[in-house]
Amino acid sequence: MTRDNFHAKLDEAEAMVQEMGAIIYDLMTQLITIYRTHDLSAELVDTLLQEEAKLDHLEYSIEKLSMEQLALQQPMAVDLRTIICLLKMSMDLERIGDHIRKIIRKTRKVITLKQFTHFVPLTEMTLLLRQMIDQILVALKERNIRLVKSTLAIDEQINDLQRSLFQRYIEDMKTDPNEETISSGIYLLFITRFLERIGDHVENIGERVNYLVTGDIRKLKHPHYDNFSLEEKVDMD
Amino acid sequence: MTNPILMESRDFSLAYGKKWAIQHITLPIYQNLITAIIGPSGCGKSTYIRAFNRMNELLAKTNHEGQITLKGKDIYAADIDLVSLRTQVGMVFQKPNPFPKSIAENIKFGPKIHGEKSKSALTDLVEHYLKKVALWEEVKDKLDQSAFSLSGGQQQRLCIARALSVKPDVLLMDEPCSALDPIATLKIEDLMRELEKEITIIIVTHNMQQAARISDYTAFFNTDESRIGELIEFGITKNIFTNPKHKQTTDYITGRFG
Repeated sequence: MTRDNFHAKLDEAEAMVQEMGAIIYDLMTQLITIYRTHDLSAELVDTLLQEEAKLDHLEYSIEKLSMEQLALQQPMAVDLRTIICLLKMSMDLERIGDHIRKIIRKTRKVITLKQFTHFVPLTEMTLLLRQMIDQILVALKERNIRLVKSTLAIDEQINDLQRSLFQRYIEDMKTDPNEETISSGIYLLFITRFLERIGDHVENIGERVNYLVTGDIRKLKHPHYDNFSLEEKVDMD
Repeated sequence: MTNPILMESRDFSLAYGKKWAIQHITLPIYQNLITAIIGPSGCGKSTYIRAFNRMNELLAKTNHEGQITLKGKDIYAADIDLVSLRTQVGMVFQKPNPFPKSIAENIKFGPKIHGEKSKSALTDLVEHYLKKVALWEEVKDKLDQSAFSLSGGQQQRLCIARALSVKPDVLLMDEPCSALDPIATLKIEDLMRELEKEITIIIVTHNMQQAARISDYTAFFNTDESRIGELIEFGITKNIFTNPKHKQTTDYITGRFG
């Protein structure tokens, strides 16, 4: 190996992406516990938000490292793809962090209102998302396209759950339009929406892993881009 | 990119004496585009580029197999006029090599040999080609001075202008910037992009970033213990540098060699 120092920098960036993933995994584990125990104190909210703030720092560090390496090392081929993908993944992971932060705040409100009936499906969604995060990080580590595809398949379940919960919250608000139901219904609508968005970000990460390995920029699953390779478009310019 | 093929090598091999330097190279050269040839030292890329105007024969006794064609005609055919071939396929070398004459005479030399006698026409050609290589403004007041009074980068641009003055179809450039400073290098690169509109360029370069910056197509050559150069991969430059198909190419351009 002739560019050991440069490749060590790439490994460093990838380790930071993995660290971001691990933080998100832990936050989701906490969230699952909260949905099960209905226990979310103001102190715990602070602790979790401090944890989430680490994601912003890591994203910034990855961006800085990537820009330096792009400017100084002129990476090519798989190195170029690695650096671009890690940079983009860090952005998605940071966005996931933002969603989790909002979910924590809204969950605290729902708990204050003592509306616990919907916590079982929320637990289910969060468990699925945690599994997606876990798998996509393994897929990145192993450069495993198969695992990317099976991970993204889980997103369908997330979307189905979100749609059905959406209907239920609206029904609940209609049938029992008192202040608690309406307030918690609105918070819950936001929470499920944020959870669903997390799934979309995991999907983006999966597409980056796919690009990193195959060099093919492709929307892996998108209703309007079914089996449409962006590479053909890129080549024409 | 659907430009027509101007030159093409088909299963081309070349030996110095009995020693094969490059083997079985099949490659299209598209008209009005820049094709870069990259690869480690000793992979035969200079030998290959010199095969396009049969310059190797000036260096040693050579043998070849396969074909190289220009506009469909085999340039190794018996009836080929070498002078005419080298007019159509010009060359610029690693070190600037202006003639030991004035700046103007360097440009006039080729057209004169090709029969241009009119003084005013020759004077016009000097201005035309010096403008073409963006050298005119820098030298217009000292056209009678020796070409050696110019800087290295200026000398190289003069050599390019000299090569262009006989209206070649193809310009071969063997490491044209390796003796130049970075600014002169960027000027030549920019110039190549301009020239591409009128001429087809094949460039050999050690500098991968340069190949990435300036070429439309890239060919990667490599060699092994046999010391015979081979073509490993050829493709659109942006694909070669973002997603090469061959592991050897990836290893070379990412510096994972050895």
